[in-house]
Amino acid sequence: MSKYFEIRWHGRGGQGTVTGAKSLAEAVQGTGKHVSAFPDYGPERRGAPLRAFNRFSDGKIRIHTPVLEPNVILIVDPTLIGAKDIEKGVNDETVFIVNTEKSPAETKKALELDGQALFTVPANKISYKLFNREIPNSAMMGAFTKACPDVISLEALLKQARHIFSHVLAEHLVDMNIEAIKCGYDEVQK
Amino acid sequence: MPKNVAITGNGAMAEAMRQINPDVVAAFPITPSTQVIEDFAKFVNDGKVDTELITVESEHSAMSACIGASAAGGRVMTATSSNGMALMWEMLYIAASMRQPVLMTLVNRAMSAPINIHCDHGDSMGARDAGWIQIYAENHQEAYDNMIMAPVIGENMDVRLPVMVCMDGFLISHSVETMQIEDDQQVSEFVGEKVPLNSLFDTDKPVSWGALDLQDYYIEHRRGQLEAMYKAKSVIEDVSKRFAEQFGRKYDLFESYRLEDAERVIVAINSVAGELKEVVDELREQGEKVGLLKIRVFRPFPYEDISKALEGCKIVTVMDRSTSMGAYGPLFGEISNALYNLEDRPLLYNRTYGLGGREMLLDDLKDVFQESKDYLNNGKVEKIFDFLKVRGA
Repeated sequence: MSKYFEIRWHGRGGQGTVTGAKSLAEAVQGTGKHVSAFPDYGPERRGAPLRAFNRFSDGKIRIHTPVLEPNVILIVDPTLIGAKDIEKGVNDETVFIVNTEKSPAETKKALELDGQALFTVPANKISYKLFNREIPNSAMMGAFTKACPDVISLEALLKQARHIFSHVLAEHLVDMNIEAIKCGYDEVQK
Repeated sequence: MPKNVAITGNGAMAEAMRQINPDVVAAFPITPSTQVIEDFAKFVNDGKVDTELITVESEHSAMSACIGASAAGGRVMTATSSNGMALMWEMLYIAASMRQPVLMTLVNRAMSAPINIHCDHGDSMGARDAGWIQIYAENHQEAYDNMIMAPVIGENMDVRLPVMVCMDGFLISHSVETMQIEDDQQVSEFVGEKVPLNSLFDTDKPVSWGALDLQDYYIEHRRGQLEAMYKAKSVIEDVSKRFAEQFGRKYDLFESYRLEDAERVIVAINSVAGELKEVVDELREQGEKVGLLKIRVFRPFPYEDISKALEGCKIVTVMDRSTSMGAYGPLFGEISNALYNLEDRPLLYNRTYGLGGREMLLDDLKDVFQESKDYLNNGKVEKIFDFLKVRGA
């Protein structure tokens, strides 16, 4: 196992997955940890599968290679369930967080897991309700803090996210994204 | 106040440019360096800098504008990559030989063809004879730190040469990483003001720049330029020392990582050094005497210092992230030169890796150390030159 806390995001181009990984890194950075965030640098095409990565650590992060054995797998697009590369590097301790309206039991079965922890969150539903389109990353961040409160608490995430979003978004959009994080947190099922 | 931030490598370079607050920036966008100028353009628009930003129609014009503005006495910066720098080619030499301390962020990217936007060092290595000081960086922090030091080095009156600060495309330029941005005021004081030399604006002392210089003096001017490059070595050491005193991060001409008693050493440049340090630590825990020599300053090349640092080791693997078609790798050539005069020379060989962004995982790098172990056990090098992770080999 790596000495870093490692996350692998699986999404599709255009859903904000890379932005999600970067925002989560910035939020965790705000709590005093060292962080990194980067995607697989392939051609970026809307709708095509893509991966993004995070590393968090109390000390310096020296490596830039893709995450091979993630502590957490975030599946941002449920249509990627069953894709071959998702289960790569999974061990008994790997935690799954899946954007889906299906139950955890159904999702576990679809992913053919052997007892790993799995959390579901209807992030698309939350996103449509708030933004009227599919940008599930803020809700996914909320779900992440429910699943991994030791990495960043909901309180810390909300505080950091407000700060980060206010640099790039208009005020009402900042509020809506904060709401998306809260909904993501509240609607997690295990 | 200095602050820790999570930022992309390009963002970090734009921050360095904001703090340096140059008189003129002339640039033309090219992946993966585009964001440097994009971010800097925002600083210009928001009035955070006093810079005249010239959006030119090509990289050739970008470097031409930089040379003109520098000859007028200004502190001048630009950023580019790969084919963009190739289009500057003529002007790169002219900037250096007219002794204009232009500052460039070079985000390393593979040269076309085939078109490839990803990292290798073919662009800067191709320009190694152009007369620019070349400083390389493993990560965000080093790229930023090198850029803060660049004007102080290049504008030193014994040097007056352009400086290229290189970092890996995408791996560093586009990834977010934790680093420290220093205090604006402190950086500004460290960098100081550029002292103009024979400025075009000094109408009391009119001068011509770039005059004709044939058999009578060309060779003396070239020799003088070389002298400046030699002097740059100690200037870089002095500036790095001053930087360490002020900001606490210490840099030498190259980094020796666990070299003291190392028998097997890898020599490499830029981001792969991070992965190599991780692998060296792991192998050291298993009792293997391995080490890393990471190049920071490639021009001027510190032959004697490197020869001393590698004296006593038994085998050296040089990893080149570029090819010199028809020759061994550019870094290998230099290391070979550095080691030749040692009485007890280590075994030496060259591996080419990572062209066009081909990734090297930790296990791949362990394989490289394993090969050097096999060579050392057999007492000879089977293949002096080869590619790593390539089809058809």
